[in-house]
Amino acid sequence: MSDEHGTSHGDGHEHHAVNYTAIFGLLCICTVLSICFDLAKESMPKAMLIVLILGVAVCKATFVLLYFMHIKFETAWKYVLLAPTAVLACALPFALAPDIAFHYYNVVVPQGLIAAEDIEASHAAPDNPTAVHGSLEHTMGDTGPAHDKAGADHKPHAPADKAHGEKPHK
Amino acid sequence: MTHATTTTAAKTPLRMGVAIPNGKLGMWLFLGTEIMFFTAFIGTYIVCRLGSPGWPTDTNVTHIKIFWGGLNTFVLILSSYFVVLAHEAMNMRKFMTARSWVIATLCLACVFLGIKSYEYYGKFDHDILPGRIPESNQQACEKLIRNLDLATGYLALETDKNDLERAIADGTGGDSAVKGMQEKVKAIDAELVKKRELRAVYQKFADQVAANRASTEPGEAKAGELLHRVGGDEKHKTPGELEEWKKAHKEFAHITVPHPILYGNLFASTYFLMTGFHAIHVIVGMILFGLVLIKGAKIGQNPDDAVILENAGLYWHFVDLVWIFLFPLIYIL
Repeated sequence: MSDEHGTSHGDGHEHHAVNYTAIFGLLCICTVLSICFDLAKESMPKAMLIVLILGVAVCKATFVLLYFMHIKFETAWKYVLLAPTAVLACALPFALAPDIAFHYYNVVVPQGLIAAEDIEASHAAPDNPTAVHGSLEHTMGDTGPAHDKAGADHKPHAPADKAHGEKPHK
Repeated sequence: MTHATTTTAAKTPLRMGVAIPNGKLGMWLFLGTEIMFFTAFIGTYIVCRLGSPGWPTDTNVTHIKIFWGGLNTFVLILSSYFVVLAHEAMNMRKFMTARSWVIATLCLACVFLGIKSYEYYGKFDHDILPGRIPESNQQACEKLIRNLDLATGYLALETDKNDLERAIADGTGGDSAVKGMQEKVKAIDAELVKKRELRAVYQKFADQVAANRASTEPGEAKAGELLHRVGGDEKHKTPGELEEWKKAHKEFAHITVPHPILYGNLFASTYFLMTGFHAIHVIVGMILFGLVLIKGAKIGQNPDDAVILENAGLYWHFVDLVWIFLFPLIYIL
């Protein structure tokens, strides 16, 4: 696929014989794979879907980084530059996740309360018309916000909006 | 041996630091900060999503268009391919070929932005916007009243009247101006009488929603019933009150029933944050390629042109790299 023997042009630029067409083909195959996994997502566990989809994304990113961005042919400076960046990039999600995503306590937010009541109600009566859309238990047919076109011509929030604007705090 | 070393040293002048052009080192340092910039957004999105059970994933609700997202992925990959071909041509001193590939890349960037605009149009058209999505039945009722108020023109008149009354109280512009404003207030009052007649059509509904909100008991069930009554049973195609209002008054013809979307606002915020900043980066990439193209037929005469194209290419590949992760995270999972 690639020839790691670089040839110098004498101006500091190394030329590497890489079959870019093959890399492009691999990237296209990966994209098609992502779409296939999406089409088959109903028939596989969610965890497996996440691993497969993100696995394909990591493969694509690796191809772009190694060959299109020529990281494979760079000297050791790439580690000095990218390693701290990678560590710092991971810091934010890892710092926030324990409090926001993986807490042991129940977070009391209005949306959560409504969802809980709604899920109970929908279990009791499957045809409940008051169901809140978006929860995993609720799917929407052709009656979703696709028909809610009224807001498209809204003006920016006027002071009078506050009369109706009691949004729950997240 | 000593002679050979001396000859080599004479050919390649001594320099400090990393053995790559300064421009390229600068671009890589910048890309390092860009990596942290985007991972902050993507990480925040992942954390918020994991912490929000019931996150909207149904494409009928979110109006996410997987086909167009997939097509955009292909467009960016193809453009990245064209960029490396341009860089290759530049290294082989085929400057006009390089220029053609850069033009092709710019065209693909325009296609990408066109598709993104189409997706954004869908979001705006369906009001999938931060702070505009009802997340509960009560909020859906209140949004419906707001839409009805906007349709009657009642809210705009009330706002105008309040502004004028404030200006009159302050005595803004002197006596003559105050008199003029008082005349305007009278005209608005006459107009408001007509608007109140129109508002009377849904006044009962508005009062019930307001009573629901004021109630100390959880009003969700009541709000749901109200919304259902006004919207009608769409499953069985039974017309609700809104349909009757629409038939009687053309002002309400475009009004539809808002549907609550749990965590819809958080979804919309993160969606626009990530895709918006990505689109800005696409535009910046286009400007960088424009800097190469602006040289016209003189491209390649300056040795720095190759470095500029390489740096623009690195930036473009990074933009592609970000989209490689945004596509599965937003569109598929």
